Amino acid sequence: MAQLKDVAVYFDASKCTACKGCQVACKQWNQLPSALDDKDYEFDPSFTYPRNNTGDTWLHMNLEETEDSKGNLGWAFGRVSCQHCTDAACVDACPTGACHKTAEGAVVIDQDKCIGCKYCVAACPFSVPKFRERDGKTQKCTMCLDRIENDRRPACVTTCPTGALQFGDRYDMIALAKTRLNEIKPNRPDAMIYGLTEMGGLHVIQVLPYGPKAHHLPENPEVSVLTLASKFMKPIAGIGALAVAALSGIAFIGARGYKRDVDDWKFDPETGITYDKGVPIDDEHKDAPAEASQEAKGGE
Amino acid sequence: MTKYIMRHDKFARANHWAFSVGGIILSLTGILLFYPGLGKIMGDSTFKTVTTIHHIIAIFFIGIPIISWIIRPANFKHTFHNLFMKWDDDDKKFMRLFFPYLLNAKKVHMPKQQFVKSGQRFSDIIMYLCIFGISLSGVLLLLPNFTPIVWSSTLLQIWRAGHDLCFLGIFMMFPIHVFFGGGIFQPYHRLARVMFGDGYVSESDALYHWGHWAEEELTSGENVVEK
Repeated sequence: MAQLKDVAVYFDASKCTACKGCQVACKQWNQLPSALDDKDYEFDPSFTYPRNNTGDTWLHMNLEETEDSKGNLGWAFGRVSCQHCTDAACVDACPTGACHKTAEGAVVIDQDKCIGCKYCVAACPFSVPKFRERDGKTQKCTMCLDRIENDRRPACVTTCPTGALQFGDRYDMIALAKTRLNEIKPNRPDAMIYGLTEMGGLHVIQVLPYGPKAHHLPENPEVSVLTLASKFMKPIAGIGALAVAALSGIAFIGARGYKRDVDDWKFDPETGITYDKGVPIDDEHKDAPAEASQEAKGGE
Repeated sequence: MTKYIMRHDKFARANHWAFSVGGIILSLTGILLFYPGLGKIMGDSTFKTVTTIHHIIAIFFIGIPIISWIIRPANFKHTFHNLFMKWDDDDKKFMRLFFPYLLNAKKVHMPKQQFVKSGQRFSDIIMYLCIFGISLSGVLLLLPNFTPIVWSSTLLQIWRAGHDLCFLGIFMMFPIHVFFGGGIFQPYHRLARVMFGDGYVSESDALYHWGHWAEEELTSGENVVEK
């Protein structure tokens, strides 16, 4: 595979059989253990385990029995994993720079820098990053960066038996999606391509036969106002501090040569008059007798 | 002989410095997280250490004022009395003249002030609010680490935005406090002594800065010494 610049994973939910081979392959390649405790295997009406992605399950397939706008029943299979957004909210929210974008378009968390603050968990509109208790850090799909840097496809893609998962140049994946959409649209009126423009363009391009909601995806994902507020506070703080420093500098220059000796100002408790170098400071006492001033100065 | 008035006793000075040192360490560790680019200079593995230091110092930062209020509740009352006292004509005049004074301190004469100048009252209220806000949001952010509490994404983002906003306030007010309180601004020269030194301020400086308070103290003579 030639060195790719802007890559994407393609997921065609209309071809997916929910075999979960991708989910297993992800766990195998990334050495992510499954829970070994019985209590972690409670029945869930979604027919999935675990119920959602976790710190140890970076790719989760969900199953949703659904009905399209024509009243046809069917199964919507959803891929819950990092969407590798172009305008990634987790990257904006991360206070250490651990969460970052790579040249390939992947969003990864540098585990050496992650402090487990969970800000990325809160910021992601897809609720993808998950805090992992056992190491106190946040985990998520890496797009198998370690594989694609070595000319190999992500683990999930290599194992897909139906060709629902593909990997390559983002524009090629979009072309694949458009072709597939034209094929299924007559029978799937709600079908759409997801990932073209959402969050500045995702690096997981999906063909969704039943529309985003049925596949457990937000219709209009966006960066929350609170995450944006935190992002903009940084330059505001910097500009504010510079403005304060500049004003202080101007004040300092303006006060050059200012001098007030330790004995310049005196107060006479008997008259209630304050003097600056023997002269009353208040306008109402400007006519006070000069000797009072001298007395207040200590008979100088 | 020069008259000196006691402005801040040993307890107040110790309290101020313990709190300030804590605040400075928190700011230095916090700024590495506020601007991750600065943290990168320190090295990638620094973040965990920096965060741990930040959390430990935060305990002292929050604990010091609470302990001092328990030991000396009168100080707490005194502080709040000064902050929220009624503004008189001199206070209003002070605020009107503040910027002209800042630009031309040699010519502009400021009116007499109470124990805390009106300008400082204004900045102190912002500082205290920011300190309270940053402490509260910091505790709320940390709670899930040692309690079963799990915040929703929205609440976590609110605490985080609040923490950042309060840091922004402190980040801008702190240099102002240092510029004036540290005596860098020439008319405020020698004022650093009230916190760095023995807590006394000369009669001349007291009259210049806090005329009403100085006149009261010099009239009563209770806290006045001659050196």
